[in-house]
Amino acid sequence: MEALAFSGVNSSSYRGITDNLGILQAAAIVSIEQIEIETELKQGIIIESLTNAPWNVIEQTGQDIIYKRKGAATSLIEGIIGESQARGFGGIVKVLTIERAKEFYQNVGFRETDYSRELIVTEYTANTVLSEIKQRRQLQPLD
Amino acid sequence: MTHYPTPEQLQRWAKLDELEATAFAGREISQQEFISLVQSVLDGSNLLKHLAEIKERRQQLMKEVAELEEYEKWLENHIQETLGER
Repeated sequence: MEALAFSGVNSSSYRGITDNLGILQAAAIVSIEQIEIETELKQGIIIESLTNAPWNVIEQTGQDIIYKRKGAATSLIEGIIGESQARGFGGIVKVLTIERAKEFYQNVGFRETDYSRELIVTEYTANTVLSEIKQRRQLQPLD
Repeated sequence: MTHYPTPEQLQRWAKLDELEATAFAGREISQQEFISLVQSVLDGSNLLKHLAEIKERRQQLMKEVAELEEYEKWLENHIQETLGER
């Protein structure tokens, strides 16, 4: 609730992922809107903001290392794509990212659109993205 | 049946581990906006602003509920008058 109050958004817009200790590892604010895909408008989920927990981001060295949780952001995105499918949007998800984060989203499976800062997963790529994340989890367990 | 990852997949996953630290999304804000935001957190004005927004939204919803209740009553009376004559 504190994070929501800080951000000033409704609880229904919030998505988060916690670890097995119940500690929040990554969070996002989403909305459901029409998304333009190749001149067609389709319903989907827009990730308006997303952030990883500080300990998953900062370089930690020495003896005072706080635990890192590998794959938190990827797992959160997996959940959002899954939600998009469950809601009947076909897995369509758009993210409004910053330049230095583009490579991450492209590696997950998002593709660029004609608009800068926008990357999307379409209904045609959603299953591929999800099955690759699942395959990765089976072979290289995320935390 | 076990599907083994390709060398390209393994490379991409290793890269993904590195890139997780950059997994941000959202609108970039100016330095001035950032300072203003931090200040509002430190002095608590962000919470007061959010409380005002929530109160306004609650007022709006209560107004809508009152309008719906009024319309509901009108409709019930109208149904009574219309169907009651048959």
